[in-house]
Amino acid sequence: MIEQLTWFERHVARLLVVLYHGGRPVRSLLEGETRQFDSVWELQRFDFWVREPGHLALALLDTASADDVERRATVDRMLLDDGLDTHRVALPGASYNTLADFDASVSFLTARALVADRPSFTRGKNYAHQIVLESAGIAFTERLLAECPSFAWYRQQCETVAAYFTQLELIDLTLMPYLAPELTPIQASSARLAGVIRNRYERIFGNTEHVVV
Amino acid sequence: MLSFEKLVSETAQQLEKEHPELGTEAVREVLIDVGIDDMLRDALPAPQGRLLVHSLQVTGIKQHANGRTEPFRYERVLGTGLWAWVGHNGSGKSTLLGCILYALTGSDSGIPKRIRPWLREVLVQFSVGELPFTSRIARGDDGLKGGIYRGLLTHEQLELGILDAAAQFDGKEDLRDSIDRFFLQHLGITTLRWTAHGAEKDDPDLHAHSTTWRTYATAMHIDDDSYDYLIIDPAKGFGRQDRKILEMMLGVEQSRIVSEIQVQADFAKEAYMRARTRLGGRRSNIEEQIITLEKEAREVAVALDLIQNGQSVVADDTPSTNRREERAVLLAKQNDLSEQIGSLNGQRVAVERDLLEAEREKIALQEQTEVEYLVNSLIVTRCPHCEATVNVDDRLSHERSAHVCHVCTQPMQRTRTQADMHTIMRERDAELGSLRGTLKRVQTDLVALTQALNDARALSGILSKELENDVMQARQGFNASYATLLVRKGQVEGQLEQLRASAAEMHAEQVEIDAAARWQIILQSAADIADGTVFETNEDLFKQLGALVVSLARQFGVPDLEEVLIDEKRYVRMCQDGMQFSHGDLARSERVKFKVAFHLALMLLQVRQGIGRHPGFLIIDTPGTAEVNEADFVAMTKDLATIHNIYGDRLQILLATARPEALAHLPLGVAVAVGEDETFF
Repeated sequence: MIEQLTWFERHVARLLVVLYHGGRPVRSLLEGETRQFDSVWELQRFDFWVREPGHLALALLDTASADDVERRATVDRMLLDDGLDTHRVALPGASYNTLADFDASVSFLTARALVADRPSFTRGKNYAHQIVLESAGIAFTERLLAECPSFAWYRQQCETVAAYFTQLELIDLTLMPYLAPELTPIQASSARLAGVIRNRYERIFGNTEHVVV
Repeated sequence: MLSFEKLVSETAQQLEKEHPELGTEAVREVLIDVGIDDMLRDALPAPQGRLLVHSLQVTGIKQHANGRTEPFRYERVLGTGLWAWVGHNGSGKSTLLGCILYALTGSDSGIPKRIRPWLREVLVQFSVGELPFTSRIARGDDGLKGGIYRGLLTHEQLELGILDAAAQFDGKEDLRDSIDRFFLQHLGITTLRWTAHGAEKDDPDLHAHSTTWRTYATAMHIDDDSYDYLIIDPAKGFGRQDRKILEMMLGVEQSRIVSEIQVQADFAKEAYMRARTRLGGRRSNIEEQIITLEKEAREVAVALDLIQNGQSVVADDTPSTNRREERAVLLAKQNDLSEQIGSLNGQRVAVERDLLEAEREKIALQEQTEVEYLVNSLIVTRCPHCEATVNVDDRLSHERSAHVCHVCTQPMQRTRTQADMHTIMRERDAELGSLRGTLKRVQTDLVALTQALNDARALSGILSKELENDVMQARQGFNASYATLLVRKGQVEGQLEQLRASAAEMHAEQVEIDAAARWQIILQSAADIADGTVFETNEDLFKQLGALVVSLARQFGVPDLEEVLIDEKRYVRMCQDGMQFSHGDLARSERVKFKVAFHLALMLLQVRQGIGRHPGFLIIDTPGTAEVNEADFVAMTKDLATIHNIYGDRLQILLATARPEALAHLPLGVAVAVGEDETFF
């Protein structure tokens, strides 16, 4: 599995950043400060919005109104960043593989005592595991963010996703309804999305002259 | 010698071959009409007068740069022979010579512009032949005034006001005209005419110009600015003014007749050319219109016949067939272009996709470069499944000793270094650049092909519309066409009637133009013959002038000059070492020396042999201050002294020079000099 992922270490690093920013902070006497996702499914969905900045922008615009200043500022930042298409992290395999398979990455981090993969006692097939970023993992992620400037982009993206995650959680990623009417999920997996995003932005907020790179 | 009958017979003889219709009588008639017979009869030599300046007096007020003013008065008594002013640049010597020319010609171009406002009065006493005169130009608050008065008069005598004026003037233009008339009359010089087109854009007409006394005065003044007055250079072309001056100074008596025939020939040619152009344009226009209308009349008649016989007006469908074929070619081209565009679009999409992948790959590489070492530095400390602790030290020491992985027992491999990553990065950058270039090329090709496709579509649209119209016209029957054709038939016949009447009028005009053509041919031939005859008559004169120029120029520093020839066009040609060359080929310093020699020769010819009309008066102003070397300048000065000694009583030369060595070689008493800080006035 590790061989299937090109540049495996990069994916591991992204996972750490996602866990750090998306995980729910928990503090216990025994383990100190940790961050945890209550299921792999939740982690995968959080990671999807981080990996797919174009989808995130389209989803945000899908429910935006002209007076939504905060959301407009968020999309402005994403347009100016110019990474809507180029920063997309494509996964190996077919285009319908929307969610990442974290088995190898989580095992890798667990063996190195940064992450714990614990069985969950919550009912439901999607909630079989809790993924916990342990104290050592938090320290390592902080070091990684300090030493690797490219990962600042993921930090910013994670913060955006975290801010809107309660709404994004409700979106059915098998249908991706926010893409319509311009795109289908298959088209969106290979096409450039920046042009569609700009058109949609102009329809809602007016011209995009101030966010031309 | 040129006579009227000789000119008539030679002109008729010359024209006989090419224009047999022009007989002797036609030639005689034309030449009599322009007055050539009278001119030849009246061409009697006029008396020649010598010009001699007796004194110069200049008064005025100097205006210094600081605003200070200072009155001045300069006076010098002159006489026959050589007179010189020796002084540094700016001492005023050229201004004094300019003042003399001012009083004698009315032209103040020899006086610097800065000095002109200083002058209040210029007084020059002179004589023409035996008659004494005084020229006075006074500048007052109310403009220029003065005149030429009989007698040698002083300022005081002129102020008394009892004057016998030979010429009087009030204002600048009047001044020039009055002085011109006076000298032309008293020196026995006549005006010669030549033609030239107006220099102004809105004045294309041919104008006749006349030589004035000022024109001739260039023969008695040598200044530093120009080297080729009178010396007509074949490389430069036909110097009409210079030729007139030269011939008048040499006393070529029949120059006036030749120039008059030439002027008449020029005007006749101009009139003929204009009439021909005007009529030619109109005639070809009318003829074309008649041909077109006659063709249309025939077509209208055929169409009317067809309608009356119950046939379709569209008798010939060749234009429609041509249009269909043209449209078919265009449609094939459109298909081809569409295919090419489709292929290019596919290529563009593929390149864009590759480009996007390459950009993502680059970002991935950048991230991988930053985290690879950091992540790989993490050590396995527990089992990922049961979380049982792994003895790190044992594992590491085993791997170090066996060089194999403790899990899979494969040999240990070198970790990728930062340098490896940078190499991969560079490869990706190169790939990106190449893809961007390909995309740009594809986009450019797409734009060009799309434009070509749009053009082809537009053109085929027009053709389709035309084809539609053809069909509609054929279907609409011919009731409307019949009425239109009848109206058109009437219009065409009316226009043809008018045009044929105009064509008849033009035929009459053509007869007049033929007459103008005859005039032009006869007068030009007569002018050429008269010119040739005059040259042959005076060839010896030109040879004498050439020989004298050679002898003087050799002494002045053009030692290798062998011969100076003045040919039938009055071009001055020089020979040296068997080679012929023109005045323009001489070095600048040699041109100065040659010019002085030429002017002196022209004057000496008159003085020594009584040939020509040169007034025996010459002004030489700073001859070649910088260009002439000392030896040549001394030779020139010595020659002037010799001329003074031999012919001093028959001519007058006024010399200004900045070179003090002249003082050692000039005769005693002829020169005045000023020191380095002094001026003449």
